Amino acid sequence: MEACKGNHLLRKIWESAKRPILAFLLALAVGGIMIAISGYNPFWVYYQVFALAFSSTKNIASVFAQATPLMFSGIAYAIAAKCGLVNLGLEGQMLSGAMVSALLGAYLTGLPLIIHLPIAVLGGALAGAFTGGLTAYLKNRFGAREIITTVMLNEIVALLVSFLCNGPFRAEGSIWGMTEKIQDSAMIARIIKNTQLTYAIFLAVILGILLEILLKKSSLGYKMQVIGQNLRAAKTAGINVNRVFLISFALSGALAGLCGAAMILGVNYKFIDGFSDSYGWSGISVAALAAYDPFFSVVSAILFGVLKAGAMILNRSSNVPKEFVSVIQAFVVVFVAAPRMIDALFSAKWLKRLIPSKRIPAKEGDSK
Amino acid sequence: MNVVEMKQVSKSFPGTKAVDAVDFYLKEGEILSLLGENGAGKTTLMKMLYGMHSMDCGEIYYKGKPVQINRPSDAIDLGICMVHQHFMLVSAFTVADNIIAGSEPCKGIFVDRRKEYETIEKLIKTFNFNLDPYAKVGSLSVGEQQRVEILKTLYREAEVIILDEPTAVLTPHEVDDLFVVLNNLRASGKSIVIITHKLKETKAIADRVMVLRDGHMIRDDVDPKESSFNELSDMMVGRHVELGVVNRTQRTGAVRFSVHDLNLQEKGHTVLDHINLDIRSGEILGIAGIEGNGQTQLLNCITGLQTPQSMHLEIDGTPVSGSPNDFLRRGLAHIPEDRNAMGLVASMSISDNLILGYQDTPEYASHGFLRRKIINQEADVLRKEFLVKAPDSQTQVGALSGGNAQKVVIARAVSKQPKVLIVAQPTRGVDVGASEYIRQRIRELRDTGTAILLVSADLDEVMQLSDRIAVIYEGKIVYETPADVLSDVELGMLMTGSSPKNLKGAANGSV
Amino acid sequence: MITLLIAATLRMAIPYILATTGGTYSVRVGITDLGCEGMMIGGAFFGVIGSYYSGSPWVGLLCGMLAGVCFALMNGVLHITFKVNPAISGVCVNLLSTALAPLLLKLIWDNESMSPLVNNFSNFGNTWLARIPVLGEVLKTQNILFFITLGVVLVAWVFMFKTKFGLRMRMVGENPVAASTVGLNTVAYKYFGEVVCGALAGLAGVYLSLGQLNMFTEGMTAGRGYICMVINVISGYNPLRTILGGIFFAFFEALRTVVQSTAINANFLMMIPYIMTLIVIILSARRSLPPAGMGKHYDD
Repeated sequence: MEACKGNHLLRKIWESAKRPILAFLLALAVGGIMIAISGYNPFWVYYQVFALAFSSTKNIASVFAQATPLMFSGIAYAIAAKCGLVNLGLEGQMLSGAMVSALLGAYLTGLPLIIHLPIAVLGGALAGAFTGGLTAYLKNRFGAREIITTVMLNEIVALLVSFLCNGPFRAEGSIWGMTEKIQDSAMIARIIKNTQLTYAIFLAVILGILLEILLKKSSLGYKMQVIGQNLRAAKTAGINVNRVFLISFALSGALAGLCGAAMILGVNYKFIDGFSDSYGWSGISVAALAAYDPFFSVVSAILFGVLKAGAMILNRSSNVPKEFVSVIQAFVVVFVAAPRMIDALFSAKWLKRLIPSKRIPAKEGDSK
Repeated sequence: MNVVEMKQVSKSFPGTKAVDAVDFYLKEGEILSLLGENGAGKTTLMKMLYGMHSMDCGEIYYKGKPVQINRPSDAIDLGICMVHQHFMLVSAFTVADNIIAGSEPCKGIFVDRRKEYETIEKLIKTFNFNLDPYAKVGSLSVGEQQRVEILKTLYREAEVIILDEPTAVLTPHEVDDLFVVLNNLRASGKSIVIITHKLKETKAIADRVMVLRDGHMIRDDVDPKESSFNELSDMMVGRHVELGVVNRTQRTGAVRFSVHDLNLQEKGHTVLDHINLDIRSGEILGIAGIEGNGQTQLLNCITGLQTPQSMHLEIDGTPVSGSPNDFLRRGLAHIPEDRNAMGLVASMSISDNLILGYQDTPEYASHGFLRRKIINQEADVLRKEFLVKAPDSQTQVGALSGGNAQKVVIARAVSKQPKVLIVAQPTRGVDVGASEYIRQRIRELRDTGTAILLVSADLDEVMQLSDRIAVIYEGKIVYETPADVLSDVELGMLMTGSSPKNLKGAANGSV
Repeated sequence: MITLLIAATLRMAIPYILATTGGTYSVRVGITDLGCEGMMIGGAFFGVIGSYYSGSPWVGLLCGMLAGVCFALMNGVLHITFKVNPAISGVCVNLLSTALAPLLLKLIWDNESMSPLVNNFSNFGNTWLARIPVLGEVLKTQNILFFITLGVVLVAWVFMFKTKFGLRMRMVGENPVAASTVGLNTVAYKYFGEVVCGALAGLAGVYLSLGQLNMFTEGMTAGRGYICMVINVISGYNPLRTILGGIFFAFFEALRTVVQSTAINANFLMMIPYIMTLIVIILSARRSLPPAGMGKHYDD
């Protein structure tokens, strides 16, 4: 009886986890083909990537440093997605947060760290929340579709911050567009010296857990899920849909803003034009792999962190292009987004013959 | 001679056998009524003939020859056309474009606009359809849209026309018009299938009746002229159903729910016109009317989903206005007309669905967090009390049958002991057994003192459940009467805007 | 100065017009044209590849269009066949092509951000076209793709609104269930619209790398694909009107290059069309609606 129950639980976990896992493996396989085409042995490369990523404290730090911004943007995308919203504006929200943090960090002077740093961080979050909230406002007030407005706001914010760091706030004497270096009192401390790993990662993990609790346990989270799954039922039940949209978009934007703030206040110490390595867009991959779940976004961000850091380290010692990681990232979304495709692939007759029938019971659990 | 024959046709959907080894035939130049309850497999059977569903097994013969129908275009090529219950029209296109799309008159690859409009105008004239071929379909009434659908089949020179529940959305006058059209079509040699569950219309128009039940063919050669309503109904349901258990209210109290001066305009049209309704404690007021006479908007306005131009609504003497949430908190519960779209979240559990709308009440939430333990306990109790057939309360609502899903909606509303209950189409798509149970629960709630407003497209249901009946026609309450005073024929006349002889001036709003 | 500005505007408008016209095919069959950005990148990159290996920009043009079609097919497989949310499938296309281009740059030319110079489409220059009064000055800085673009737009308009296939295509976009009941193969029409969108967005990309320049640089599409989605909205999904929308954005882009050296900040100037368009979109959001069947399938 006990064993039966345990089995049931295991199967349940496998049921919910199998698609992301299969998607990730498939994406690695496609990435492997890319690597093979470029003339390297994919198995060797993957082995090296994972081995190098954990080969020294410094490298492990690098993994988590790479994962930090991905955690923020992954959670950001997930929290909006739970509410049925497609937040394609993460990049713009992230940039606005980064710029505000950079300015607050540089131009507020004479404050102690305990006040200055929170102000700078909070400023970034608020800027992101504002940009995100604006999208929700336009959706609620004018019925403008968020896919269009987020994309527009991305462009506008990108141009605006570029204008700011090239124009009025350009650091003295610099040729490339960048703001002044932030004050020491606004810097997020590094956990390990000479690495880019900062204490911001704790903030990301804590927020991931908090939002998970919010989503699963609170009545706001319940309302978000109802809206995400049946908008009309939510309206009929008297849920204030516009308000939840606003909260959800603002939360998503705030997290994207924090992503920018963490990069500026912890790593770059100034806003440099074009600094973003698509941190916002990457959030979509991260969240997709986590099945749009805030806490699992943290986990999936670490997985991508391993790939990114490992590839960068490998790139230093060999000629393996690190860009293949972005390709894997893209394919993860492809495979996660298309559960029917995965099912079609794995229910194909040729596969049933290959895989022993043990796996079939998992399918039966589905129909129950 | 049989135009169409289907032999030993079967079709399964995950979990159900929709059609089970059915033999079907249609004679040339007849009107056949395919009779059956919701979910009996009528539509599925006809969609297989039209190529929209594939058959699991079975054969189709057209004019004696075996044919393969894999997609609608195969059926159209043979001369089989179907008018669907939900019209298959493009609102943004003109009437003519809707009719020709898919079989356009062409010069090369270009659409021959002149020929298009000439042909359509001729067709409209021939059948006396009174339509403007240049009008956008989105601006047409439901009856006109149906005529466009029928024109689509005539334009394609169909010999077999299948109509799925053609009268569901029509006013009685439009129904008469439709029957004239159908008789004309029969006279010109077309063979017609009407899918319906309405006995009255079956008797009025059909030459022959086939009865389907639970995917089986029960009878295929019933003569409608020779069979009574009760015989047809028993065949349809499979057992004798006491149609209309009547149990009127024993005592009514003070007015609990009143709505006055409700006016609503949509796109310049008056949709609701000076609606005044009072419902007493312990009373069910039924709204009788043909679908599309403002019922949906009435429901929306009195539950806060839509804000009318003017409305004064009181619950126990306190004015209520604002969003649905304001209405809900004042003790108004709502059983929406479309449970899947408006009442339930299919991917969530029974337990989660039972708190939908009440998630912020202190009963279920404290400090913004859900009180899971209490919610689950209560769900278990309600699930058992309301006889929801499911393994446990964590079962997804999407996995339940229509009747059980509706019981979840009913349980949610009834268990909150509302002051006022707004019920719309409580038994639509619900099997007969569950329907009777649901009606019983509504009566029980009434007996505890709740004021209940019932809206149903099913006049029998309105007559059976209501203590008082208000007739709505074109957005106006044209008559109000205690139950059991008027016959269904008289109510039917009121619903169409005419007044029975013995009710002088009734239609003029003398309430 | 004015002629220069007009000529530059027209040059800048071509990629917008081409990709947006492609987008109208996509939207008219009911698929959001979010993936245009990725298809443009693909077109720009593979256009250069084609020209690099063959020496002919025409081969490049074919390669670029083919690349656009490939990305469109990917979007199609995801959205049409496997019913992925069209926004997500569009993002997939964009993520993939943004990731692929630098990887291939690295692999083929061992360069992080740009390709070597390749043969491109040359301007008309001082041919007989230049001698046409008034227009000549503008035309001589255009190339053959200018006329191809005009042709593409005209054909698209005639196709969509005058032919039976156009009518059917629009029906699929408006109401795929209805379209399937009159016997149309909605999946085929959706794939058709998507593929044409890919070909034209790819062509737009080719214009960027082989028409305006003679190489590929990373990030050269600079979000133009997204703008096309927006132009599509304000032009009411009508190919003819995409010309106006394209010119509107191109004008500010041209203005930016002209005033680059002056005191006005170019980035700031470039924000004007975005903000104006955002306002237009906001104000017309409830009126300019896409086809009613957006994102729907025949078996929904």
